[in-house]
Amino acid sequence: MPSRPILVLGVDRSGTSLVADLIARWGADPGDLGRHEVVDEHNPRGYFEYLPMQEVLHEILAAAHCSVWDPDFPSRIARLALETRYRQLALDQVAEMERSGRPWLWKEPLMSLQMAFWEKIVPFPVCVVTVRNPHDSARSFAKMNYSPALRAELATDAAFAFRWQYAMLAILDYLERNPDHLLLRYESLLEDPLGEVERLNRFLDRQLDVGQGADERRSAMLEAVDPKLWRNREESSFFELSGVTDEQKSLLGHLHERAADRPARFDAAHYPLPADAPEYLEDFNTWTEHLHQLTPKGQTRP
Amino acid sequence: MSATTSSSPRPIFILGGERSGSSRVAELVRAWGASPGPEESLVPADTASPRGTLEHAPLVGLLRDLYAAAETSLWTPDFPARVAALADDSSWATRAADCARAMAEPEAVWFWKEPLLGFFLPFWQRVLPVPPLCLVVVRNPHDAAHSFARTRLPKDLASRLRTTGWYALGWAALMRSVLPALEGDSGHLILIYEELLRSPVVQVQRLCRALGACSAAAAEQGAGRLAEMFERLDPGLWHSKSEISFSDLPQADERHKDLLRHLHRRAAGATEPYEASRHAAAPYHREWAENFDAFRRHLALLDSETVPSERDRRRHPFWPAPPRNR
Repeated sequence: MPSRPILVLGVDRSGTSLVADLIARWGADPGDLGRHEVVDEHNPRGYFEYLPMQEVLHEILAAAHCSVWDPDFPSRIARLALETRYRQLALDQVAEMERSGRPWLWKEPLMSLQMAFWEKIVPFPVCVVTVRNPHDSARSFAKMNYSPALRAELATDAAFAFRWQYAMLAILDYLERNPDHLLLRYESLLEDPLGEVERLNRFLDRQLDVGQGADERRSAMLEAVDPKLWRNREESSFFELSGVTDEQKSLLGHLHERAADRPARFDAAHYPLPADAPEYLEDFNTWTEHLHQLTPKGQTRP
Repeated sequence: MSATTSSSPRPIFILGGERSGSSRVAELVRAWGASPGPEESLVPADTASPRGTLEHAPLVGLLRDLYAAAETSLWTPDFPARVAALADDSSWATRAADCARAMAEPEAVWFWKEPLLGFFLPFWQRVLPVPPLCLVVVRNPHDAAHSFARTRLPKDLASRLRTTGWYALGWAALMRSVLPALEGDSGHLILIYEELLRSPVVQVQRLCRALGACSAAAAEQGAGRLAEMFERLDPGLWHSKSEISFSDLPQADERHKDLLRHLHRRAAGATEPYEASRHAAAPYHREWAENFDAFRRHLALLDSETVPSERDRRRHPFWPAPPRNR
């Protein structure tokens, strides 16, 4: 197999780890996770996040000198890709991954918001984008990040829907310039693992020019899909939530069309973010971080 | 049950969000001659309001209990209707009448000032035999938010929070409760805080004219107290003064900008009806408001030093979490 990057893009808790597992089983190299991989109750099979790459992501974040929700963030990080220091840091990690000589894999939700930087660094990536009911992702995200006491009082649908909207708009904008992509619905993957794994397998084989051994790869991939891990499964539809915007519902509809391989033209102007959304997200994070710092050691996050 | 007879003077309600200048207006109204209630019933001064708040503690307690009885969050669109419906319950009506009766002698003019009072205006309009004279105090929400953060939150947290959008959505919710209730009431007055400090003579005279509608006797007395009222206006206390107009803030919601312009036009004399459909809340604003109440409650639990006063402990962010009728 030729060396070519595969990027798994999507918002937090949308199935990116499961898809990364599938792609690793297909044969892509996720990097040396032995030194870095975290396994916990939230992701019993691991996160598939490569720490040296994450460190670069965080350096870029700090160098942008604004929040990821700031409208200027994409243009600022795009400029960083032209600065020797940050460009070289990122290129060093790409070179490290290419040493295996085979397709390699990066997965990190924060990367979705940083594609304006990485598209100038990573050569011709293949992208797999996860789509999940943001309401379910929100519940999973809250369980992972907030204490039961705070969670009992917080509603996070709207805050997470903005987080999700930012990520998906950044991804869709990037995909306009990269036709080598596939959208996968998390729900479809767990309802019809055979069909969706086959779809992913065919896509990767075609993109990476791989011919033989498809059955073996598919079998290995299918073993990764465990419906018991489908937690935070909501009966109510995102489309019926009262706290999210019509534009967000429309965006999810657009993503569903594309995940079903139906043609749908993307126009970011159809999904505008409200002017006060960045403040809500930034202040939400500031509050939770502040409460976390005040929480006595030994207790869970607030 | 009525608190006063139908010939009684109109009570005065001072309505405005926190840090909007309502305490300043309350001082003016007191200097004019209205009573904030017995001295011992007033919520004590604190570091955020060193000159006192002129808030009637039994009223704050009653509002808290009404809030619980309404069984929905302040931030739901149907809160005004639900709280108004409580007036049909004789136990609430009696308690409300008792609270009003304790304010002053029957012929005296009294006032209430409480930042949440506007949310309960539809209830009070139904239980008071004489409709209150409402003074609506309006300030640039960006400045009020800055003042709120500076005085009500720990410094290190306040410096990292933006708060303007959060404050504005709470302020807009308050106005959505107040303005429809004032449709058809020609006696109310909208006061712009910035104008009060820029043009005190004109604004205090406007205020005196409006207050004159409370009772003829009080109007006569109040007219002689202009000098005392001017003394209450110390421009040196105009903190958190923004260089930028709220309308020019890119991060502010257009509906909130539109609402502020509407209030400014009315304060300048325009007879412009309130159109609820133009100022509806965005779908995510309820979550935002409720979450920030929850954050403040948790902050109080984790860090007792951040609860600045007994006054704040009475306030809604520290009330029990509202039921979620989602």
